[in-house]
Amino acid sequence: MFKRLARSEIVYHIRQNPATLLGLSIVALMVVLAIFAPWIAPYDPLEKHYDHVSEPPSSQFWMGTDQFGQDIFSRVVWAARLDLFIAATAVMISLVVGSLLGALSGYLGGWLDEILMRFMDILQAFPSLILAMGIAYALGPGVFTVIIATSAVNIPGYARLMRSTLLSEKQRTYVLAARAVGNPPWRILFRHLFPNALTPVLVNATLHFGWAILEAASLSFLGLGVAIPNAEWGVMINMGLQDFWQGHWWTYTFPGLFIALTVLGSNLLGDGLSDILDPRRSHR
Amino acid sequence: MRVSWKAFLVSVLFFGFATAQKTLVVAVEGGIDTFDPAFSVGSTPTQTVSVNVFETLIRPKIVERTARDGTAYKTVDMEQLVGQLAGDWAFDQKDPNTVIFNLRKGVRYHSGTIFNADAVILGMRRIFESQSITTFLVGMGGVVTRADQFRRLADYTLALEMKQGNLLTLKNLTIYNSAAVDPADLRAQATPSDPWALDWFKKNMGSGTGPYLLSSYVPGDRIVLKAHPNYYLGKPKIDQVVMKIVPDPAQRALLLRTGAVDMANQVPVRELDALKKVPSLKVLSFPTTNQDRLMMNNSILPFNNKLLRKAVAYAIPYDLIVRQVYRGYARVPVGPIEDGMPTSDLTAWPYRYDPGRARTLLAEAGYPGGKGLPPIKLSIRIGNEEQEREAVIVQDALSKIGIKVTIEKLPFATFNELQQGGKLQFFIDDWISWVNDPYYHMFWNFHSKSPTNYVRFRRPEVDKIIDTYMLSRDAKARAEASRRAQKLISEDVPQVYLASPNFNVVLNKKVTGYIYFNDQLTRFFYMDREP
Amino acid sequence: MRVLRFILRRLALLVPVLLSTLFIAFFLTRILPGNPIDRVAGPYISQEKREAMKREARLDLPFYQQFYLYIADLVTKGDMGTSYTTAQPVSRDLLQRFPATFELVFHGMFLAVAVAIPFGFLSALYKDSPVDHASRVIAVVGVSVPVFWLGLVLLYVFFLKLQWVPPPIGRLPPIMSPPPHVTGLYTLDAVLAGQWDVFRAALSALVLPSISLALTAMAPLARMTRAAMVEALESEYVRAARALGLPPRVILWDYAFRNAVIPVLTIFTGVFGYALGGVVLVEFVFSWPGLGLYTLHAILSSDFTAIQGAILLVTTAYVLIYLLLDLAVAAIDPRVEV
Repeated sequence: MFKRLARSEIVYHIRQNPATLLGLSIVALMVVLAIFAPWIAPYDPLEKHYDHVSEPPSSQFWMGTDQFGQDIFSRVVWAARLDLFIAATAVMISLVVGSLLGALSGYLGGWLDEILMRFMDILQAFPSLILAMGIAYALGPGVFTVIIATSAVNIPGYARLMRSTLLSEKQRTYVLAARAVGNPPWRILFRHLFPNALTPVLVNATLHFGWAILEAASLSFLGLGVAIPNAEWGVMINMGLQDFWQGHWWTYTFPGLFIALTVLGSNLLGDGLSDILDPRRSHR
Repeated sequence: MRVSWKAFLVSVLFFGFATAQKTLVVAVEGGIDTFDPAFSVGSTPTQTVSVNVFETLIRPKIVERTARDGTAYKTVDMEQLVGQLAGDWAFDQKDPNTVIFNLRKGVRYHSGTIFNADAVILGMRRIFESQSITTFLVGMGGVVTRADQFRRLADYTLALEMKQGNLLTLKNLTIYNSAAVDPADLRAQATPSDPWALDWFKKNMGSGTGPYLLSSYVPGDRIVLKAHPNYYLGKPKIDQVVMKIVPDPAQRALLLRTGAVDMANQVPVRELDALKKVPSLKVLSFPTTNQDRLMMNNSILPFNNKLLRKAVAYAIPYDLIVRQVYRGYARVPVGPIEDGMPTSDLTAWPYRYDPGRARTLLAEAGYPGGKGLPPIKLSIRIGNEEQEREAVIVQDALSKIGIKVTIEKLPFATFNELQQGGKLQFFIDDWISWVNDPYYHMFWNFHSKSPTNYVRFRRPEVDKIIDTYMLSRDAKARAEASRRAQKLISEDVPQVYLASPNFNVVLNKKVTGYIYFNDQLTRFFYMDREP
Repeated sequence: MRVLRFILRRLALLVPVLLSTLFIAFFLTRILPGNPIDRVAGPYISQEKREAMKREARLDLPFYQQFYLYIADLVTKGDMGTSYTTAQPVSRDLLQRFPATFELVFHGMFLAVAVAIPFGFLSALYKDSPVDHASRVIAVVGVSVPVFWLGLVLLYVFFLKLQWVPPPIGRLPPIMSPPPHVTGLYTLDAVLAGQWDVFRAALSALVLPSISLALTAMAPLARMTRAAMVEALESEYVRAARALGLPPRVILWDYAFRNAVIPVLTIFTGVFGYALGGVVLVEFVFSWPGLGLYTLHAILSSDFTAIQGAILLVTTAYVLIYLLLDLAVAAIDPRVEV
């Protein structure tokens, strides 16, 4: 049962909290960049201009060039595509796997619940970047690895969320009624229980999205993620490190700025969604 | 205000002593991973410590050379071997397979143990019975297979009976790995389960005869060497060497600039031009026989195809690499045997940058425009900035003729294991032959039986040449055969040579006496630092 | 006595968690091909010698046996094996690198708490004021910025351009010797020894890395403090206290703040865990010779004994902090049964 929101409620919230709108706009902007990268970027991200190596921003190269003469602006735009893709995929995987595990755990209970929750505890006992590093090391560098590492670390979050929602809804009348009528467990899960968990999960997913971008960039920055010289924000900062001492600030400043913006956007959006959709949270 | 004359005297003495202590501060890339000279292959700082603490019987002679740009520099000539711990050496008049070493008298280990023929033989036994890398080195060519081929003739006289008399074995003996450890250490540290004290020597610095001792080692921070006051050639001018561990190459450059360290090598090439402009620093850039090679595994798809390898050889922009990656501090390589190694044939290797020809060859190889190629991974080691840049340029150049490769950066150990197992398909590494001898070089790189023939190059005619002439003392025939081998190797293009980088050392102008050795390790004994 | 039992019970729960994290670390380090034996051995060593070395490192044994032996060594002798990159026992390596990371994390978290709590507090008190807005903006920005990028930008501004801080090459300038060892924290030891120049040098080296760490940890702390304070201030018991006419100061501290502390403590662990991950990135950017860099280099060198040891230490620390905070909450919150 979806909580139907009145249009006026949403408008009211946005009026009170312009930050949410800002967040939405930023995310939308990044999505646009990602989708339309081939048309927005003036150069191919891997095109090397050996005569214009490590040049500061100019009219020809709006954000300057890196040590291979690659246009940073084009790379930043194409990186939006890769990073958003990685984050979205990681969130999707995390969400699906985590929710399923949490649902099973919560609904079935018993020893399965115990084991799964212990396992979640253990996963959460690792500081997330360290676990991601370990996974990245085990699987070898690459886009696939980054996705797996970023999603694995966040599965416990979704699992617990789903589980606690389920536990509280399990005893509600409509569920008992559905069971009495003879609905099979999976139908109860999907038809009745999941939609109720959707709200917190959605909020979590939005926040997780920003988080995933940070983790992916961190892994690539350390050299454990996406391979050079692909256009990925973390990789660009890693490559920019080599130019740090000569004061070529543009090689790492712009990609980092975009990371920060995207994460900011998703955080603002997530906070706003949480305010809108969760009535218990104190409104202003 | 009266100052006590005693205090004055003490402070003068102290001050005098303090200034008399000459310290050299060097920035190095890492710490020590083993203290055992017989086993140190990995890190340069480890090897640097070994080479200053332990000594071999003979060494190459120090000579003066002039670089292409006219500057004079000091280096060594591997063709002229002089005595180090051996006062002199010579082939036995009566038996051309035997060499006699007359050891220096009066030399003692840092612990006080007397150095004599027994010590050398004990050291050799250790090497042969513990099966270390040195066993391979000393025994190259099957000439020396047992420690008892080293025979004691007198307290200070030693004979080496080779299966076949040759100069290569002697050249191999100049490498520090064959140094004899202190017999007293062995006696004290050997255990029933570890008769050669391999474990102890790995974790502890033993006594050597060299000009320096290890004073302290703080892992992750610094290695400190102090001068041996009773060194038989006189006390070294530099009293103390502080090797500060700075893993990041850019920071080593920074420390040089701020004057915090006096010396560093392995500085990123792109910093050299800027460092040259700093008034207190000087940059020494030595041409070497080091080569960065693009290795193609000849035994697996797709590089078992000779035409494909030829296509790659024509696709690489060699001048661009020297310009962009090495900023001129390198040369375009000459071929399988680099310029600077005897018998190097500058005409053997015909491949130049010619993308049109590369495309044609690619089609002839059966992959027109790159169609039909399996996925190719170009593997490089993490941490080498220049090789990383080369990889990116190679990737770019190959994509222009239709070959798509992905770059894979591997950790050191993973790379090594895959490389040694012959599993790497396409990778970049570098090689410099510590013994500047063409047959040494060809054996390790091109002989089908060599464990370091990473591209699995197999050509029986080349094997035959190496086997026949490796130990030969007929210089003329040896040289001619080498040139023939180079042509044969070039025909098959087992690997592509990307650049021959110089060896760069950045020093404070007050530091003098640096000598370039073939193993690129610093011998602090010859150096001095003006106050 | 009850407290002791409570602590022991919690500790007992810890052990399986630690064992399991170690198991995962063990598992992860043995999947990828490549082991340090080949790095050390090189290509020149005979096959039998190589096998002997592998046997010594127990790599020929089945996985479970390796794990069991590792735990046995650890518990009985405190032996975590030998690192292949430093040739030292891993336990010695860890002990030696630990103070550097501890000092960094301590300074960073101290800064974070010292700024975040008052800010969150004031924010809640003067809700919707410009101060509140400003601090909320800073908080949300702080949580979005990648810590390694921040470090680089700060370095660029304060080192390259302004030269207000020393070069990022370690805890002290290369010529300076560390103070006599008491705790391993250079700032503290220097003060204890009266070496003020060393103290200044150590502190100035700490400035940028701890600020970088602090800025990212500050945000969630400030947000939670604010939210908790707001909830406390609008709660029923506070309204009751006001109605009863209690002095504002008493209401603020004894009622509101006391209750706000609990949720803050609860997320502190989460922030700490995040900071532990962030410390790897900060140490990388500033070349800080601590556990973070050690772990990273171990990973990049396939030095699996070092990786295992480092992961074990980090997760132990994290879990212990979690325990401490749990205890703190139990002590403060009367609802928790001890």
